[in-house]
Amino acid sequence: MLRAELTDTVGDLELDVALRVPAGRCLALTGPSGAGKTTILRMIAGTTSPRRGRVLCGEQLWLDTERRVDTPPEGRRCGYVFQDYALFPHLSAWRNVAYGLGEMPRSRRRERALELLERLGLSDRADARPATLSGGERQRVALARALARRGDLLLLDEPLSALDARTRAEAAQAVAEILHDSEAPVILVTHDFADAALLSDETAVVDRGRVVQQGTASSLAARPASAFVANLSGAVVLTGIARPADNGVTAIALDGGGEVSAVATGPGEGPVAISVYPWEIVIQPPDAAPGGSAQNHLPAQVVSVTTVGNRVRVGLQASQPLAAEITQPAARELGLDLGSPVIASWKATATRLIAL
Amino acid sequence: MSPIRQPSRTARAPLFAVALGASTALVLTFLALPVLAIFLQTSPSRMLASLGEPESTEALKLSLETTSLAVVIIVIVGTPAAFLLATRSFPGKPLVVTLVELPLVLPPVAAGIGLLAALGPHGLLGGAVGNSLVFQTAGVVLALVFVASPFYLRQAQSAFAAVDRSFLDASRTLGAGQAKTFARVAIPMARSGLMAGLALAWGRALGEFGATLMFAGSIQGITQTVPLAIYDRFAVDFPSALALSAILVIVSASLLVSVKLLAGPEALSGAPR
Repeated sequence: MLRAELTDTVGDLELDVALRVPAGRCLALTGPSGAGKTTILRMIAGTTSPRRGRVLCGEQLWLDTERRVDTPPEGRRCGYVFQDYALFPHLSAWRNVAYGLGEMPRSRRRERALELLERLGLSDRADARPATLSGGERQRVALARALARRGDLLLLDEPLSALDARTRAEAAQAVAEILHDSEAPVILVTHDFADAALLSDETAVVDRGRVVQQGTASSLAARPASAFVANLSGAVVLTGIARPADNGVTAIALDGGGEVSAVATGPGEGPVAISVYPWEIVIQPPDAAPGGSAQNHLPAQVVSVTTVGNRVRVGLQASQPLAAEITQPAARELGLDLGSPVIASWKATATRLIAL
Repeated sequence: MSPIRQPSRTARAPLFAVALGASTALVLTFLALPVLAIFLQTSPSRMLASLGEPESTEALKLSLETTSLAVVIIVIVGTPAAFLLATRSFPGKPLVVTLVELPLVLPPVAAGIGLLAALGPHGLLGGAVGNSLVFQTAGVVLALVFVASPFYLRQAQSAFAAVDRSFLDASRTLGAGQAKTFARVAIPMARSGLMAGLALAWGRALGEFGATLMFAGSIQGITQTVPLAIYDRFAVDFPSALALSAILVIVSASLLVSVKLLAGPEALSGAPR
């Protein structure tokens, strides 16, 4: 269990957060840039000290400004994947990984570094310098390096943001596997709510140095406490069991009932999470004839209606919570009241897929 | 058939491009001319003959010894100081940085007088060290360190400042303390900038004249470095002064080039990273 309470003023930012992450769980911090997400990670890792705060990782007190405890970063067992990875450019991939193995006898470091790289599918790139690696390869070296520390805590700062769309799905899978295997608490910083939703157990929305709402990603999307959260939680996440269907389509039996399909590269079988953007979801009255090109239709009930700028975020309860975003005229036309039954529809091509 | 008229690029070269090219040519000519003249006015046989004279070889040996020692001192003391100036902020830092750069604008003669006033036999700290420095080889080294260190410090500071903080932080979170981070990450990443600074400082030290003359004097075999030996001769034996100058130019230039080659292509182009 990680507990962190941090208070500081950094420039214009009034930071004041209290976080708790149980062992083996992943908390995502999401919010706009400049909200203080990276600063929180720095303070937990010890590369910056807050004016007031306490960080307790398991049984170890890393920081307590009242008791004048401030363990330097090298004394905190904490794997840290930096934004843009911060791989040492003058060291090869395996030497980057071995850098974190300082406590191991020198003779065993190479072997261990190669093991870690192999686990991430990079054993053939062990001798390459970071400059010659692709974005996805760099990300995996950074993950391997953070894991080498065998930390009591894992911090990931935007592990996917430097990647192009094509590499992203694969890289997200690599991160998901590491999170799944991690026995330590994990904090993931991302500005992309969809990543937070797919990768974390819980998501905290950070705005101007404060956690404005915390919960599972789907509960945030379905019941945003404010327009800010509604605006940010730009993705719906549903879980289910995938199986291959005809024509390269993957069918997903949703937990709690209902079936949807996805046209997506990714795992074809087993437990999966899918994500859809709320603006891809169309709301229709329950008696409307299913038509158009959308393949996925779920009966649902309206549980919230939030105005976000010129749009309306409609929280829905189907077998799992989801949210749709529609225009104000469309909302008026539909006459959405809390509890009214609707059909939520979206295209199979709008469905992102990740293995759990 | 009428010829197809093509707009000519060369005929209408923009005036600005011409101005850029002309001023660069002017600068190059002006800077190269004196160096070229030295070699045109002397000859390889004259230079070889000069190398045969004990006064010349002694001066050359002394120059290489004192400048090497000065550069070693500058690098050992200056590197950590430059790292501190690049990575920490503290009250009065601009003042400290300006102080470090002061010897750059100080006339070398004034620097020599200043060193005498501080460390000479009648200087501030003179009683303790004065007689072991003035008219001694150690005094030459001291004068060289004083005059040449800002060249290294400035380059090193900007080279360290160019190393993104996240690399240093990454090293720390991977279990390395501050000293190991400095040695294994900061120095290798700033290497080409450090080497460029080293080359500049070494070149400046090799050419040092004023401060050395004022503080350590010009005693053959003890404090008479090559520039002082050249000055010593120029009134009485101009061809010999020319030959020795040519040798000094060759030594300085080859030092500069070889240090920059060691540092890699970035340092050779001279652009600060």
